[in-house]
Amino acid sequence: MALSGLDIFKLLPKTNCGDCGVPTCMAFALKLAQKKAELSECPHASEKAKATLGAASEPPIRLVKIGGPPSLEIGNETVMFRHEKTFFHPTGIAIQLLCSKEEKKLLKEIENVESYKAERVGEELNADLFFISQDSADRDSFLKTVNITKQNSTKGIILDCSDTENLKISLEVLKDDRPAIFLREKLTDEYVKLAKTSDSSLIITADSFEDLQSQSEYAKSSGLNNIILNMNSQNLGYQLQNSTILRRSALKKYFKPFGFPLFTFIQAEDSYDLLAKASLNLCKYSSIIVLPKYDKAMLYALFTLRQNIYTDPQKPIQVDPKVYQIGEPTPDSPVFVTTNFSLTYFMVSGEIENSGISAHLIIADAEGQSVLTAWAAGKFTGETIAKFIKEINLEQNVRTRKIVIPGLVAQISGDLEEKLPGWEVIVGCQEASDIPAFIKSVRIT
Amino acid sequence: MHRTSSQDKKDNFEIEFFPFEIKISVAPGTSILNAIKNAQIPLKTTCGGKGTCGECVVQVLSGKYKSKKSAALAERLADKGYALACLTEIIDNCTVQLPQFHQLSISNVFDSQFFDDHKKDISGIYEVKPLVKKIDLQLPSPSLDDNYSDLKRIQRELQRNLGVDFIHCEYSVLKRMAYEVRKNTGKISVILFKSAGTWTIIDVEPKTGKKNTYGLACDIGTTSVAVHLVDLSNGKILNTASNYNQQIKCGEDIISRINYTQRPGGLQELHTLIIMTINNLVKKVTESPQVSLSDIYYASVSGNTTMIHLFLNLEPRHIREEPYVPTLNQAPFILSRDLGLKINNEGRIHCAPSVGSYVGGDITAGLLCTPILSDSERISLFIDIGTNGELVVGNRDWLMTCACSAGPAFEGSGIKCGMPATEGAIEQIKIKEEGNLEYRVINGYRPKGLCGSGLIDLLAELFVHGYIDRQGKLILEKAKGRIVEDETGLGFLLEQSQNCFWERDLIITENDIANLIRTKGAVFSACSLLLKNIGLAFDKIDALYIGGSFGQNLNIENAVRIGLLPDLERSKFHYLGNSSLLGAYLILLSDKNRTLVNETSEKMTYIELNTEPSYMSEFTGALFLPHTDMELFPSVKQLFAS
Repeated sequence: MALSGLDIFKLLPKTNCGDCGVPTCMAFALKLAQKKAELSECPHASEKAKATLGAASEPPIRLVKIGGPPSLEIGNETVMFRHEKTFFHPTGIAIQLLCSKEEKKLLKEIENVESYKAERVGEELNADLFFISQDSADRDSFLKTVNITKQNSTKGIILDCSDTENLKISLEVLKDDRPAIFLREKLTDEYVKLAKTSDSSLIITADSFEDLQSQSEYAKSSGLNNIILNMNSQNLGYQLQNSTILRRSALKKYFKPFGFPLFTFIQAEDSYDLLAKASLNLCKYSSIIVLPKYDKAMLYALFTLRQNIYTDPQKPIQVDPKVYQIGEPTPDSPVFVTTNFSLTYFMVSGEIENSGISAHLIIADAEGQSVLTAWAAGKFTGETIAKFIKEINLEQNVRTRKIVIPGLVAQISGDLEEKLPGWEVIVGCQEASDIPAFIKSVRIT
Repeated sequence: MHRTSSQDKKDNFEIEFFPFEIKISVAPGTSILNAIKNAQIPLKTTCGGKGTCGECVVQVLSGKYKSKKSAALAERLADKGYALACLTEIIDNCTVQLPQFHQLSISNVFDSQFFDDHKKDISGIYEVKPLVKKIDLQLPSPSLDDNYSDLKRIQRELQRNLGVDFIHCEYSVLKRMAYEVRKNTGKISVILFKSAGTWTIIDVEPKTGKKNTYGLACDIGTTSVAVHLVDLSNGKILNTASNYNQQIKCGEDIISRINYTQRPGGLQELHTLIIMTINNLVKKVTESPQVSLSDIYYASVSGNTTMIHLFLNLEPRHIREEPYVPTLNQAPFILSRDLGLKINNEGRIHCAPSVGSYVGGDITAGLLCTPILSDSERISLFIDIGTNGELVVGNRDWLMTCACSAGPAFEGSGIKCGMPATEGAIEQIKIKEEGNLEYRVINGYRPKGLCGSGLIDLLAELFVHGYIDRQGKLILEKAKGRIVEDETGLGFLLEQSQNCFWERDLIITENDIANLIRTKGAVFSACSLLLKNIGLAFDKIDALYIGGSFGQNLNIENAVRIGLLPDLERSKFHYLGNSSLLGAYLILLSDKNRTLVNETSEKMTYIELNTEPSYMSEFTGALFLPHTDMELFPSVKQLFAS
């Protein structure tokens, strides 16, 4: 059970000594509740506090690591919906390798995945794992595939193999690589032993909640902590329902047997079907999805989606502070200024474009805040705008000496005129949607 | 009519504006509206000086003027000296009252019902033990045998009297000492001030028997300033005065004021304006009963962090810039002469301590008027609703606090029909079955507008009787007889012109309603976020104290119905009135209160809502009547179900 700040406060010494680096015990309690501090930072904590808080500080969904270093970290999520806070650990995308394939083809496949390079919003995107399946009776081919993969890739490996003897040898090959074992059948003592000795994570599979619970409890009682859950579902609808129930049980009811990341193997008829299923699982709670083959287009679509889902919504998205050209402006075109909050930028640039004119749009650095927020925090003032305009040498690049400011900050117009000698400041409209009408009715050049 | 010799130019006229007491010199024939603009007084006019809106109405108290008639001003008012500023030319020295800025009147703190009923169980101690002490001495005459110095002889007597080893003395007193001691053969009154455990002589004069010591309790609000004159010998409040903070002309909210200080000379100007405002109020309270300014030795001031910075002439800009660090939270005692405050030259000033940039001394002082600081069992919530809303939750062991910018709507600002709780304000309003309105006006005159409590009543009544929907939009079908429309949109007619003081229709517009909903939404969402942060549900709150300038009475039921206050058992609510001023008064009277409030400010934990990502969704959820989530307001839900 998560403890509230007040519950934790009651366990603290209440002396407000400040030795933890926070001025009051209450403030420290809140930081503990938000998991932004650790009890060890308080030198005066009682044994009772340590015991109670220790139990409460366990995350509702366990963090599991595969591969590496650097390893793929999954789980440890705290909310059902991204907007409640944020999602922390993006879904790992695994590519299946079938060991029945020729060595050449396998090498090509691995090379394709390894050389895939895509960059989006400053982040390099790539698949995270290989999922090696023993699809032929040939024992050696599995081992060979594991070896090839290990030699040609640094990615984490999931082993899909029902032959425990073969698995044992493979795990020895991968002994420092933190692999994961995928079980198609019920968990047995043998698998527990294998996972424990090789320090691998275990992906357990079940057809019902009851079965999943009993396997999970069994693994836990045998001393296994790194567990990943795979629940077989009849169709996509049930899959969504099951994943949601598992996530809810872990987060809302603190039901420990389901407090682990989820796994899904995507099986599909065609690539559209595959994309739909992969997308759903990526959004709704799978921490690992396995794709049956490498497909560049498919991957890019999924990476884009993943990036969108796992971006922290608490941080304002910013655009680069600079002069943006709307249409084909000349040195005589009008000049607008606003902040670098991305939504502000998109709305304002869009509406200027809608009005049909060309213009210079100055995006000043306001640390990604919107107009009024930035103004209130002193980040969008006559002084900061004037300073920015001088930095970018605007006066050398445009002939006009009129500048339109957002109507919401009409109060800075005098100040800006003082700081920008020779310029006339025009107070624009308050809402971006009024820009086309504003441009028609006011002379801005 | 008065002509003064201090005119700038020979043929210019001098015009003084009340309630601001701002004087300027203008050329003959200048319109009063232009004079107001020159004086930088932020008078609002809708028509921009065409003589049609009637909003720039002024009352000429003395001096000759030439005025054109307008349909926007009733004949009855014109006969009483009222005129439209835009249509009136000055042809003499004039004094002019600006009714748009109401003559503020605040009631004595002893009108606070809560304080009267709970003097014994509030956290502050109600005792008269101020830091200023007057001691009458009869010094034995010096002789060749007893040839101790004047100072030593005074110190000797005082040490005996107070049972201490050391007495400090101010230089300015030493300069007069030889003279004062001998004036009345050694009979003297000594005024001492205690700080950091040491008594300091701050005044010596021949004993007259009439000498008394006085103090000031002062609340510096962003919008208005209030002062109590207190007899320090018995704690009685002798007189009270209140007026607008003259800084208003440099910006109406804190952010604008801080911006203003960034201009050359801006900080000095704002500092001078607040000192002027207080000096004027001090002058007013000492007129009757007549009290000599030099007999005022101690002032206890409370105000938000920015106001205290401006009062002390300290740089405030870092208050609004991340990470929001003020110059100080606890000020040492300041000398009145360093600030130019016109009380005794050696007068000491104490400022109630702040917690952070956005939770100030008005809040810590206000807490003294509640039982929160002495209660270790129950959990209380203290809400102070001003231009900024501040919240405190906790008890003797822990206190959490946060601030939200509510806006001045409940103080009557930014609402077309709004006004402060003063003469002519509707303070209570009800909609009767037939759709007739029944209201009570402060001092029983024809209404000029609505104060905070009236606005809360009105919003609740319109909502409960189905004139507005949950978003605050007028329901045309229901309200059709009273719907009016102008360039700003739809409005609801409250009273027809002939029944109103200004003989203009009294209207609440949809924009006004939206503004009120934003204000109440800001306060409520800050409340729920603060509690969520601690992990407390509303029903764990045992008592709720509300401070603010709503008016004499706040209808709690209606405040809950609109979703301003949480839906708790009504017996848990207590309305305090101006708790900041009351707190300053308690600090003035007893040093124990000063110690308590300083300690309190240090243990309060401040939460910055600015950096709280869920504030926006909480706020949006609260922008409905009473809230998007009706389950939070079971009593309102039940009311609509029945």
